[in-house]
Amino acid sequence: MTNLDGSARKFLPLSEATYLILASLTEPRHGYGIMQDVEAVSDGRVKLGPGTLYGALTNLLKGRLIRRSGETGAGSDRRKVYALTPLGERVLVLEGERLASLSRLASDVRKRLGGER
Amino acid sequence: MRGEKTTKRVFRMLMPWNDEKEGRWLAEQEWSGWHLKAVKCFGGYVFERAAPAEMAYRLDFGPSRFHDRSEYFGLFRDSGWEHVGTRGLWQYFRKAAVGGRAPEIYTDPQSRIAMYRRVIAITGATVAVMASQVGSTVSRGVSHPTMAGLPIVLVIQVLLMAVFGYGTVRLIMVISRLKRSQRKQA
Repeated sequence: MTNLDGSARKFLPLSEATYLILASLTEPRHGYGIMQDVEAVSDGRVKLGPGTLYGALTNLLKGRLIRRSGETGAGSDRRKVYALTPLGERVLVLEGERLASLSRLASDVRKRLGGER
Repeated sequence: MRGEKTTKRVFRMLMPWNDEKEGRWLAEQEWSGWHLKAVKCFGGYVFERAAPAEMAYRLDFGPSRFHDRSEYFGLFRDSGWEHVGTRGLWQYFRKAAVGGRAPEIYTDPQSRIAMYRRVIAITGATVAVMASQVGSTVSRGVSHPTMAGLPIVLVIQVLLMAVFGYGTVRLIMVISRLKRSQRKQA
């Protein structure tokens, strides 16, 4: 596990788009499914353009954080499905821990700055 | 053809550091009632008369033929972008701009910078190849001063090197502008 952690840490910190893409792949999805999921979980704040998503998927495949996991649909509706690799899962968890500690700090800061706003 | 023209052809050079400007120009054509019909490889656009519409045009420096591009085009199609044409590795896409809000194919500066870096990989490599060609032409000229045609070859090589060198510099400028705006956002 420590070896995997070592290689996973090299990817941190992730950009917001990359974190959201990996988070959406906790279930296997095709590219368009990732776009819809990211938009939904970010309350419409993050809309991934197709150029941005294609580049991110290419990089994540190259870094072996995700892998191709078959296809859905048939004919012109055929889409490639992506899934996390063990390395990708580890990166996602480690980044989550980093964000969680920042989030604890953030609520502490909020209190220190006065109040329950 | 009678009366008013219903199609027109326009020749325009595409400068890779001006891809956004090119998109805006195509959007202006659409807005003034000229709908892009086709993109020809040697700099020609074919337009057709149509009702004026608000449309966003975007250019992407996409993957080459050696890649499986079905996934690439599929992502654009799924998110509502129509593929209008190809010029070299540049792909032209359009999508209706709803309520004056132009949709984007690159939604963060990092991925846009990565696109320009892919262009620079090609223009920069061309400069390097031309530089080595210029070197060998010059050394051939020194050892065979009477060889015919060498000055012309040299002029062409230097010219190509200058053109691609200029393009590379302009692209580097675009990237540094994007990086500055990224810092401002942060």
